[in-house]
Amino acid sequence: MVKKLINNPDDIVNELIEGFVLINSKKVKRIGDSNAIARIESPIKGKVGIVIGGGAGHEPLFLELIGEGMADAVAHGQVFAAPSPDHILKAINAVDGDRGVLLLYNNYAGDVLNFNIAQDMAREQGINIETVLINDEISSAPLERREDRRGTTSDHFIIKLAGAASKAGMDLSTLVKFLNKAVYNSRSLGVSLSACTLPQTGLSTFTLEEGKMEFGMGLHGEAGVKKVDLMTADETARTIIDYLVADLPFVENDEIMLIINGYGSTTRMEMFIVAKNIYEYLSEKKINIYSGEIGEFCTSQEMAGISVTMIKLDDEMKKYYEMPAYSPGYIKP
Amino acid sequence: MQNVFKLNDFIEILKIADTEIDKNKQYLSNLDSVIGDGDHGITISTAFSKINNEISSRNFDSIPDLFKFVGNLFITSIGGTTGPIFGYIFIGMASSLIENKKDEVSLSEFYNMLSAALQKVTSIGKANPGDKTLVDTLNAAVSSLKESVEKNMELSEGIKAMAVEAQKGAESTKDMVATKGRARYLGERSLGYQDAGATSVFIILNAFNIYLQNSQ
Repeated sequence: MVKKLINNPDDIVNELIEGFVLINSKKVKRIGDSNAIARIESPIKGKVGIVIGGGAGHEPLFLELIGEGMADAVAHGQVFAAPSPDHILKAINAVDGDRGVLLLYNNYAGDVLNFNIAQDMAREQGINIETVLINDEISSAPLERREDRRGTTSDHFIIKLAGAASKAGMDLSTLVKFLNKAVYNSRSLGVSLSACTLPQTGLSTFTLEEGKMEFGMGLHGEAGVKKVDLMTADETARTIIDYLVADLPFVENDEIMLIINGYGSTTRMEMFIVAKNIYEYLSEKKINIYSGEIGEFCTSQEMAGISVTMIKLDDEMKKYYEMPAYSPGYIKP
Repeated sequence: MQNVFKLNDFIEILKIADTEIDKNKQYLSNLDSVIGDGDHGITISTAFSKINNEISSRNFDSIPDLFKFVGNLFITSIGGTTGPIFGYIFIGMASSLIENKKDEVSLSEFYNMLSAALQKVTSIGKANPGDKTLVDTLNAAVSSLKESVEKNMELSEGIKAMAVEAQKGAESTKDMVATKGRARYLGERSLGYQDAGATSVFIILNAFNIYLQNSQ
């Protein structure tokens, strides 16, 4: 049983949202008592409204990624569970200005079911609305079934591109094409060193034996692809990069965005060590890192481990990446 | 001996389902934590208490009216995979009755209801029998009802047989390899564990049986 600072387990998500809104009261607003939270200035004229969402428990994802140059609203579910359509619809209505709305979320069965129902409800209201699904996690399905893959730690980068491009006035259909290109070029893989616990039950979602690590473990304890004895940082970095490079594939002289993400209880010290090894290995492979980020962008409670995301960039993606973004969970000055 | 379900019977059955699900909340979460993420018991029990609260403050003019209301509430306000999937079970059940404002349902009409629910869920969730999901429970229940209707069984006998087969259907998921939902990532490693959703559908179907046995 992991010790956690919570009150009634049934109130976790509600209290998480209340705390977030109190801390950021000048920037965000909660829509009634729903699990939909929007930028305070929403709806904004002249831009496509960006709605993100998913289960709670992955903070700063998704809640903390609303802000200028990022998403406009978020719909939150319970811990590790998709938001219901009524919350999603409230988020949509909150950001529907005059250019339509984009739903941007991870490819999980529950999310797809609920967001699709909300999208249908919005269309019945006459709202111009489209969807882009994020599916960057390479171990969750083979390449030929890329559309079955889960979305993971390229999220904040894709959301950042969506925020910048919509702010710059990109129309909905162009935005969908642009973001699908970015998703298509994104690849992520993680390794877990210990399990996460579900806060409602206090129980682990899986068990990982002493001295073992598992590649491809999902953000909710979904079983991975390869369980091995604990490796060094260098061996871990090389193993992950080999998988990622082979998958797109990334080739010599490609220019990439590199994201090293901590799952919750892995230290930044470890992340920097892995980063050093990744830079060296990618340099051997003559793959150029345009920009790198380390941090906790997408967590899974107190799971230990890291994930690595590589995104092949082009000039259009670089342009929108370089524009500033200000959200409580991600800032690009 | 009652040979039809009336509107009020279904309202009482939903209360029993709420109680039974609540009793088994921890068990369902435990099942889910082995091959899923461990929250099914909480999600489904929260959903049923919410639904019973909403039902108690409303009047319904027909059986399809009640089932549509329950289905829509599941679909729009519960979330997760549970919300839409269980919602479409109730919507499916209502859909076979929608033509006429039904206020009573015979065993053969109940068979039509559950059969429509099975169709709806397989099309929405794209799961078939053998995929280690709640479809395995529903499918076993529907087959049993079909047989009971053909044999002209009494309502309570038919529903009792349905509950027995539904339990077997839920238990049969132990011997299956998951291909849908989060458990699919476990592949062969999902063998030997009973599916949580399949189990909660059995518990709900068994509420119909408990009600009829108690009212005899």
